[in-house]
Amino acid sequence: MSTPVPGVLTGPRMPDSRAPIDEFDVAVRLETQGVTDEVAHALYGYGSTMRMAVAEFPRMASEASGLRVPAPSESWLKAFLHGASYAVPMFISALAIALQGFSLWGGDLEGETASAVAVGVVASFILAGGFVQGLALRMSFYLGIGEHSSAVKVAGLWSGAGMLFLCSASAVFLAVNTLFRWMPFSLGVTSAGFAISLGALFLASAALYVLEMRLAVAGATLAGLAVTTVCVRILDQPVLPGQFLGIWTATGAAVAAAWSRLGPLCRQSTTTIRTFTVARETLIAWASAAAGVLYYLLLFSDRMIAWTAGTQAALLPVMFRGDYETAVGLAMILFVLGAGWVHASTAAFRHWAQDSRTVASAAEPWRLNQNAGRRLLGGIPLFLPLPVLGAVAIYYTAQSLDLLSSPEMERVLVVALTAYPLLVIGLWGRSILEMLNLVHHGLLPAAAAVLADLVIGYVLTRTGTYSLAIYSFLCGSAVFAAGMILAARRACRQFDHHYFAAHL
Amino acid sequence: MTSRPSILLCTEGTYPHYLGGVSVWCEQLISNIPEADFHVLSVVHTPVQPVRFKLPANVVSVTPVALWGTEFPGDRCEPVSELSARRAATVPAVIAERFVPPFRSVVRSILNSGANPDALGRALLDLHGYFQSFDLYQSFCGQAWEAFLGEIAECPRFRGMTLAEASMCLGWLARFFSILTTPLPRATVTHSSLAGLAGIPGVLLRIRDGVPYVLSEHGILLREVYASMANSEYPDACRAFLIAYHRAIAAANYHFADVITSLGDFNAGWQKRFGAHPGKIRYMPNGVDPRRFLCAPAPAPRPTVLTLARIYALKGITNLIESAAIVRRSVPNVRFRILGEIADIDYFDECKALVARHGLQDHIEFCESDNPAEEYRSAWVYCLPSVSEAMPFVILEAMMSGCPVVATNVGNVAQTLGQCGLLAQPNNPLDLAAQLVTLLQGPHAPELRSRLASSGMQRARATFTIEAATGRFRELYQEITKCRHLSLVC
Repeated sequence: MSTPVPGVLTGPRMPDSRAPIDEFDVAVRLETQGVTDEVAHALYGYGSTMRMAVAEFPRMASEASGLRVPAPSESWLKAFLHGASYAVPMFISALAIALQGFSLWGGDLEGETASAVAVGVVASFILAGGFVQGLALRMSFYLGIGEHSSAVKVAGLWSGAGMLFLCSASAVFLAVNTLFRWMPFSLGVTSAGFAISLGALFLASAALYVLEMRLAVAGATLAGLAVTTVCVRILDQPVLPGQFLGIWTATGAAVAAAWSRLGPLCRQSTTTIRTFTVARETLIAWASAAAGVLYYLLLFSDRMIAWTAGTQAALLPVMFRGDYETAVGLAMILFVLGAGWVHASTAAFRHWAQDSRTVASAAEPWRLNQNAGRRLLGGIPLFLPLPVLGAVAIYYTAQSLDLLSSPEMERVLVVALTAYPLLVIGLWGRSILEMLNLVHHGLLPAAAAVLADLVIGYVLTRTGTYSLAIYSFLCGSAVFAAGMILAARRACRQFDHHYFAAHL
Repeated sequence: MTSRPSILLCTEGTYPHYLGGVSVWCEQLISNIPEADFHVLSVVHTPVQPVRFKLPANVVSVTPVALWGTEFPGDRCEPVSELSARRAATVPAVIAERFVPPFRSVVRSILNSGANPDALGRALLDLHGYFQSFDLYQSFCGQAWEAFLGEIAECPRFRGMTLAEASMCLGWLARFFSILTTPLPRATVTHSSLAGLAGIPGVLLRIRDGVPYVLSEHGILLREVYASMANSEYPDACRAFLIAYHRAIAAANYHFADVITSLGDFNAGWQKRFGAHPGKIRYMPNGVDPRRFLCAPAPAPRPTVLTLARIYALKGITNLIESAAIVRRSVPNVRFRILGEIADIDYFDECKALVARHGLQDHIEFCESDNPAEEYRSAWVYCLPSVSEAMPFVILEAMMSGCPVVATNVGNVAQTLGQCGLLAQPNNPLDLAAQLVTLLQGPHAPELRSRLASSGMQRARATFTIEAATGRFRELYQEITKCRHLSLVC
């Protein structure tokens, strides 16, 4: 009665059959292999398929083995480049300024114009930042579940809302500017124009990043830059109109590139498109949007403080500080490298978490939690060699090329080289919170950092020179780093719980 | 004047959002009992699944319950104000007091494979009540994880689970519990098309309001879950948990159902094995419309074997192709027409590759048809090559159309065919080919085809008409509601 059954585990459609769970499992498999009651009786001598299953189960259970699928991992370098690639448009822009004196935004402009452009650029980041984060979060969700038409629609909603907000904020700014006469109307329009145009470009680029079309982001930027260059160099037009045309060309190219990917997928889609409401979108994505705004505020607070300090003798209450910008911009290279490190380390952390959870006993979650905390803190010393070496290289390069105008600006560079790594450490904490779907746990530290930055910066620059604003950035970054790491550390104490909830 | 009776018809992955045999049955049931109102509660994959049927006038409401594709488990896409209010009310103290105890009870029942279905049903009802006021997502983000780990730790069979496995299993539960967030309408009878999630409203209404519960299984869901788990890539512990979950839910369905209808002895056998009380089981076969499938054979000049099936593995299309290669040796001009939508594109590619490998391009055609009745009439033989079936409509349609049938001996096929068709061993292309050749080219093939066609048609008209099938349910509704002093008759 115990004749082994050949082929039961390896039928035509079951090359990877798994260990049977119980005798019912075996009975079902036998039936789908053609072993009916009659066959079980005639060929194998059992009274029925079920009786045969009961007899065969112990043998089959002992022969088959479990399956463990290891989580795929991304190479560290690839992840690093992914992270750093967010700065590609910035890099292209900086390179263009160095080579031809202008880019899509900024360049060798007159004092007041430069100030107006700077205000517009910073405003575009801060005003669009929240919508960019919201768009990325929501679009990713619908792409993840294969609802491409809904992804397009929700991206359109967030972009539309972002543009509406940018336009409204710009209109309010122009009205208030007219009232208080901060700057001539034409310069106000320039600021508002850059805020709106660049905001549109950031929103369009965000869609490309979500679609993992990083080369297309670079391509769109280059296309825009080419248009600007043609306008200025060949058609001999002023820089600003050329820049506006270039930015909108880049935006159009980004939208076209995104649609070239999504359009065909939308046409294949058979599901109906969802209905979205602003209230619901706000409920779902408010934390990400708020985090985006706070992040850009932190990134640019010191500049705003520096630009508005000591302007009594100037024509405008806002004065672009080119020397300060050069020093901070040089240090920002460290930040780009740091962003790459955060991306790569987060990918490695995620892979570790996935892998560890497949072996960690559910009876002892505290072991995983402890290790998560250790990895969080252990990542920081691993990062330090990068900024130290980077800082030395940047400092000596700046010195040897005589890029800094004064010892004061050298100090700005040194402080900024200290501050950016702190910002990166804070981002490392934030990325862990993001991974655990706890972005809202990072809002308080981010808000505290912005507040510290603004308050300290205001006090220092109003009692000293504008260059002291860099210390406020240092303080803000330190608060950001400490706050985010503490929040992430706290989250790691219940890492198993949060990881589960984040993947619900 | 008596108010119209209302039936809560609960479906899962079928009517009205998906095509298929069970959906056809649902449509027949609703259309042929116009004296009752139907509320349809349809468990669907995503909330954007379109309705695929024209709804009859007596369908009062359709409530889709999406298990996946929502931002949060249990998300009913309600107004934000309601969602926010529910979330605000779902504080840790409430979760601890009102969610965790019944939740633990449900988990315990699952881990024990539904050994105590009564306790499971009552715990599910408690959770249903809880989710009418409080938020599922918030509750699962709260203390569900620790409670789940605690229950696992006490169950020897699942004690060895890893965190990833526990997380996957609890994640499934959170999604499955979406059914518990759905408000249930007042109904005279609850009727579920399977002993799974879709049956839970029947269980809840049976306990809460004493509403009679009819369970009509077509395929045996639990058996199908077993079949799908054989090739699943889930870790062993997760497969075992899924089976335990389905066993527990099936046990609760069988326990609380007043009547369990079965399509044949094969299904009834499995239902009993999985815990259904034999006294509750009634044989209620499906039916088709004789006006639609007229018996007027007009065989094509070329020997034609017809198969109507959605293209996926359980339909055994690769076996049919293997058989075709064998049949061609005896019947060189044979033609196989395989009609049906492609449900599994990878499997379809495999089928096409097999056709190419055997050089059967001139003998096998895959297509779709809007007129299956015409296809039955022109076919010489209808072939069902499935490796798993319940009571396929196509067999009934072929019989009704006077098309002789060769089918694999799966599910209730043998009982349905009686002596009116030829049976082949499942997953055995050689045997299937032999039966096909017997009907296409055998020494008495024309006589045999004619005899099978005639007897099949008579049997179908006597037993498997749509009127007979729905009439049985009408009587059943009347019978069980009379027990509660209610009437279906207006």
